[in-house]
Amino acid sequence: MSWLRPEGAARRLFLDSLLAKLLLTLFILMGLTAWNTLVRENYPDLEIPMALVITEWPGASPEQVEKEVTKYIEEEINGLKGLIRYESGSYNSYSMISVEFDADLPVSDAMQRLRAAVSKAESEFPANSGVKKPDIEEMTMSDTPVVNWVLHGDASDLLLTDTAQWVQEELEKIDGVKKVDISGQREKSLHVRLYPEKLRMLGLSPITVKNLLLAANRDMGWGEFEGDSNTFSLYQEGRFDSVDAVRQLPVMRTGDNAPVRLGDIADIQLRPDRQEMITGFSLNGAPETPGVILGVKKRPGADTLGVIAESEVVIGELMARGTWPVSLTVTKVSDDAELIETAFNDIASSMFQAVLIVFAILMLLLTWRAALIAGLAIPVTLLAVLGLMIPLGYSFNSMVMIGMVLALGLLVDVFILVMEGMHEGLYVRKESFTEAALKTVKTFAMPAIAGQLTTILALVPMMMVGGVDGKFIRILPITITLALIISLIIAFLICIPLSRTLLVGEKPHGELPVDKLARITGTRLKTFLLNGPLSSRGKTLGWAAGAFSLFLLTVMGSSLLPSMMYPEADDRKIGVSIELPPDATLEQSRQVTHKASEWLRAQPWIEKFVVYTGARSPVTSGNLQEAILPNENAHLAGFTILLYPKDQREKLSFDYLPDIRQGLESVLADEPGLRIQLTHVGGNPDTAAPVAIALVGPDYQILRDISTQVKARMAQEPGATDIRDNLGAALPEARFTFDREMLNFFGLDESDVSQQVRLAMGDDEYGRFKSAGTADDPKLRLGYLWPSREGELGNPRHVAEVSLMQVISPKGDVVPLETLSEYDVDSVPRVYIHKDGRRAITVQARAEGQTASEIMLGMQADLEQMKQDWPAGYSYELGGELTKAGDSYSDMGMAFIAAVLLILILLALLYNSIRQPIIILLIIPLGLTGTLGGFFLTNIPLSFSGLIGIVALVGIAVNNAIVLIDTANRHVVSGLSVVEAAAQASSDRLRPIVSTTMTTVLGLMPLAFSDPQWYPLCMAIVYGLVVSTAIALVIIPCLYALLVPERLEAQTESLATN
Amino acid sequence: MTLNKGKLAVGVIALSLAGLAAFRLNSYLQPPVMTSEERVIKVSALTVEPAPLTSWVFAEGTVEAQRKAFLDFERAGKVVSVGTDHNNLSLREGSRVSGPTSLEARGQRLASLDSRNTSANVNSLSARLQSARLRREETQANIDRAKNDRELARIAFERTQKLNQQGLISRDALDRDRTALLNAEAAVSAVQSAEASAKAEVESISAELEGALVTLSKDSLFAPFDGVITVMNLREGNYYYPPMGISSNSDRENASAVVVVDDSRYEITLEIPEQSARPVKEGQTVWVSVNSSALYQSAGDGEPADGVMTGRIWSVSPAISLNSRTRKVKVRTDINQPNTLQDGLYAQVWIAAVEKNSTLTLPVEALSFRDRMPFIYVIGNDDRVERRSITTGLEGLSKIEITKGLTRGEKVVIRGQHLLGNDTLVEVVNAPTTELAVNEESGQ
Repeated sequence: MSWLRPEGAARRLFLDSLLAKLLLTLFILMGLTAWNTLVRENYPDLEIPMALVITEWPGASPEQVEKEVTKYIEEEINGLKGLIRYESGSYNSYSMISVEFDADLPVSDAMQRLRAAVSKAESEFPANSGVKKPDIEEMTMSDTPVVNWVLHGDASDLLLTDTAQWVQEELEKIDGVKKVDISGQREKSLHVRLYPEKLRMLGLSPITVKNLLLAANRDMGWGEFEGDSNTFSLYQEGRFDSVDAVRQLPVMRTGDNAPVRLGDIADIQLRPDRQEMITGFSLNGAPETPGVILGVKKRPGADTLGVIAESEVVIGELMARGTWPVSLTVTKVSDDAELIETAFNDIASSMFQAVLIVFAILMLLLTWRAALIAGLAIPVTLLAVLGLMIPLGYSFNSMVMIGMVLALGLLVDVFILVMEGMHEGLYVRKESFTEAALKTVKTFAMPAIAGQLTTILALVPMMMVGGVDGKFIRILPITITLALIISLIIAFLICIPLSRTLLVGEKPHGELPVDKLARITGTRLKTFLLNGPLSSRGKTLGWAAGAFSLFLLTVMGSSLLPSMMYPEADDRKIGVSIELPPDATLEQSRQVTHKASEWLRAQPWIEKFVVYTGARSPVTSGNLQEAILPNENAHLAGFTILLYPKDQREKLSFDYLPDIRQGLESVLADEPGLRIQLTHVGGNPDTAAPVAIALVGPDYQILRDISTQVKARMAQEPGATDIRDNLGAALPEARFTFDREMLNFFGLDESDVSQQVRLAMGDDEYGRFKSAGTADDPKLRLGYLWPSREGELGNPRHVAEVSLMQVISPKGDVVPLETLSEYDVDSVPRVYIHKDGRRAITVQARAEGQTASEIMLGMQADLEQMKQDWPAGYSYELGGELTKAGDSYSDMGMAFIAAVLLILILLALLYNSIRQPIIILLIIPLGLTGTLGGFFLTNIPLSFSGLIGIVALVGIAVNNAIVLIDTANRHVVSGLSVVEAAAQASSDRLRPIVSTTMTTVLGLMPLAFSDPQWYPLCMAIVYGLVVSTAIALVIIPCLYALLVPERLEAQTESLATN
Repeated sequence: MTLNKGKLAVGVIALSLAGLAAFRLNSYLQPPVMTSEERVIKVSALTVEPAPLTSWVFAEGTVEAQRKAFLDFERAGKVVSVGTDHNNLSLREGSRVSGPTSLEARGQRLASLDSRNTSANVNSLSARLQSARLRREETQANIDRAKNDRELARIAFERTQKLNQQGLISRDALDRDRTALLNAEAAVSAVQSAEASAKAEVESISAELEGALVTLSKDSLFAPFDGVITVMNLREGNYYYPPMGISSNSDRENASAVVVVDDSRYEITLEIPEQSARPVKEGQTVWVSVNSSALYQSAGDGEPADGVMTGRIWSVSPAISLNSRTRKVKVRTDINQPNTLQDGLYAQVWIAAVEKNSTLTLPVEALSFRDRMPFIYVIGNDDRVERRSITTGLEGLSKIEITKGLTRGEKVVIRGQHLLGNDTLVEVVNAPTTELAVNEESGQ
């Protein structure tokens, strides 16, 4: 180590403070910049390649859409590279396909492929049938609005609508806003509603009216006049820009040549559309206020806080403008910023507490000067890590902070090591600063690097875990790795050079109390080891065997443990979805939401809520699986509940779920046929139902029967709540078949009749009505004015109106529909759902009390049996958390094995031996004994985050073993027998090992108890580390004594002497 | 001692851990407690009781007055006068007019054409008649004179004859007197034929006059019955042409000089598709209205609401129209009811085609369908539902007759079926008592 001489490079690196100061300034600056500029989030907002393909086909039935649109797109999508899954819903008038690609595929790449596939499929669509161009919408993991504004006040519907659209437009100009969803508004359209009886009297076909209207409402450039000295263009200005112009449109002439104008045969008004959704909100228990909700959705990866802040500015500006209608107010009803800040601050404060705890421990272990240096090094390290997040493209989120907390216990070891080394050199060996510094570097650089390297190696495979969860979790190992590398740099390049000022000049002092304690305990431990486990080979063997049988026992025990993907976490947002019978009217839904909101506002733990009548709450429909399901319909209702912050209520959010369910059930006890479903996102990056059993088969009727059967079975499974299937209730449908001879007799054709009926029943859009400026032009809607609606918009309400439905033949004859066709009544699904291109129903449930996997596995035997009775071609697939957990667990398993192998290789290289690495690795099962045993004893379900803890544990636990073996080797070299060396090493390393464990364990404590979400992760490390420490100090010496042959002693070189 | 203490502590810890482990093991190995009670689905139900049910046939048609007169002049001509109403205002659309009574053979005069030509003719004929009559009187006087002359001649001849027989006078004188008598007789017949000719002339002229007078009377229009003018196409001073080539009522409506309708009774001609027309029979009750909401209200209440007129089926055509494949059905409204219809309106007609006084019915929303077959959920005594296939019969407005699969007094789920399967446990909430049964029917 020639370079480690004072006059060499080492001077610059370890002795002169210039580089150290520069580095320090650099790190602090980096950190501060990051602190100020990084996007702050609760959960990292990952760019997962997911999309919705939406294709509109006005007037087409679900069956048509399924066969002629969805199928073709699915066929093209099916072969795409990197495709994970796709599901689709074919509705009346539109098709919706959700596509999810491998999380690691670049989004732009995936979207490009998807676009290509979709445009290829377009060529297969039925020609000239009105299928619109498919729209591809990128999705985020949780596609819910980040901030919800409510526009309310005592104003007309039209003013409300106009203002809402204005605000929407302004908000959408904000950079980072993907779109602004308006719910509860009634869009303004020009409604042309024909009087059916007048058409019949005149023998005028509505199709004629439609065509005339379409033809008249058109602008067109007519080319240019090119004169000798000037040019001007010719333009046909046909589009309607006043209601009167529409009224004046002549549609036919009567016998005496008098024109019949559109206004004579139709009611024409520029008015709000039919009310399809009613929204409102309640703050702090106040009565519900109706209003239009503007939900601001951000672009994936955009800064949530920034978007929210900017939307606040925009709203403020708008309201300050002179044109703002004074009767309207905008109120913020939910705001993710608040949630992010809270969650963020929660974790930040646990991190702060962890730093304090570690600092306190440092004060115990080191002299106050050394502790101060080590203590100050911690925030610098964390700042530097944060600084590195900028080039890595990550945001400042909870995962980063969790990573930092996990790394805290590890990185502080290096500081302790270095500071102790310096202290020893300066005061025990009384060396000069230069000598002490170089000695410290020489002695500890390798073990420190080796130690951190093993930890990093243990974490590397975790970075390789694929899928959404992998991508989500990847931030952890990256943060930890960075922290460890930076801690090494800081320890050696900053702490050592800069410790000159603080350490030099410290008064020599006697043995620290901790050292004394450590010495006494160490001696006792040595005595115990030599008298006990190491006293004879048999005993040693016995102890080792005992330890491993304990491990086996815990492994067996842990197989009984329940398992869940993500532990529940506190979340202030709770979604409630209430589904009425499928034929319920908006009025009936309104009654239900009214009762429910009266109850909700009486609950002291609810701060505010938003009511949706006629739609689900966006919280309950934010994920890809739900996105393809019906979300807006008169029979749907929902709430987005926001609880008070955690410290202002008694229970954790998820503990209120049963209360909410019971409360709602009791106030809605007299409402028949309701289904209530709660959504609690918690710490799960994926809000899809954890229990999901897909039933696949060709016929929905049979699938529905099977689904009923499965649902009934699932209901017997304790813990399965909110059981439902995604097909929903069937709708009765009258299916008409034409009498073709009759059609022919009257000179009609199928399309003519169906267009007329569609026009009569629908409220379809036919072009737009010109309005001034660039604001969205109101749509021009054509329909019938049904007398039973008494002037209101809507479809016929009376049987007689349907019975009297008539079409007008080209000759002007009025032909009753019943003459032309016959009908049958049947039940059909509202939506045709496909899973991976096949018709499927998914039975879903939430798991409460039992984990999702338990529920599904518990049913598997019975499902198998049921399957025997199903017709051929019908099968079930367990999905939800089980498959996801399965994938992620096996990925984690692979990561675990890879980690062990990597460490083995590294150690084998370092020690030039295979036995010693094996001894070191044997600490892993011993550590697992602690984790699994701890989980078993304290009833913590196995979870993904627990597994992360275990993988992280490997890296940490191995460190202890390395230190121990290294010391033992040195003792052997120095002439002790293997047994004595082992005992001595254990005694020597008692203090550092225990202090490492202490810093890690205590540092994790605040996080463990801050939120149940992190509990398994922290406890996996805590239990594992505590037990592995205890075991390492006793069992590793045993293993050393057993596995290291006496005669090899001389050859075994200490790592430190290299 | 310390060692013992330590051992003791270790022992206690190990023991407690083992105990905890045993406890956990026990709890993990326990099968999960079946805490989940069976889910009870809340539903609305209805106890089935026999109720009246009416099946309606719906149709639409144009309202026409039962009596309607299209009045026209028979010739072209200038309109000289239009009649007046009791306010002395010119007659117009909406004016009420009175028809013939026992006292007056003709109804109210409505309008007259320019009749100057005709009256001049009448005048000249009258004059001619007068002169003919005078001529006849003259001939009659001549007859008398001739007869007197003949008498004189006969007396002279008889005297001469007697004298001749006595030979008092010559044969010549006798012949002379005989000739004079024969001449006198010839003169009488001549004058008599002149009288007959004069009589014939008088008759002819008076017939001609009669004709002229009829023509004169046709130049005026009179109300044929009590009613109201719906069309008045005449204007004083305008020239009038009789309409040509009229084939349909609507053409006639437009072209007639005056249309008078009797608005106390209406007739509606319906074109009902063959299938729906099947149950329609003569004499069935119908409700007629231009306001369908009123009809619905009536159906709910069981009696006609405001704006609904009652009527009967007047006729059902036995044949199907070739043009439209429909059956022509005529409906006439009852008299003595507030009039809400107007001639020419397009009205809805509800025909109570089939009526049952007592049958088992269910609201249509109670029915679910599977493979196009209806079924229902019947609640048993144990509050569990039974899925039952049924056969339906008559269809009412909101209720439907169940002909098979249901007995009186059974409870049927009418809301919330979408959550049920066979044997599902239910709880009846919000049980609609009878208001559903009241909802419609009994449309007598």
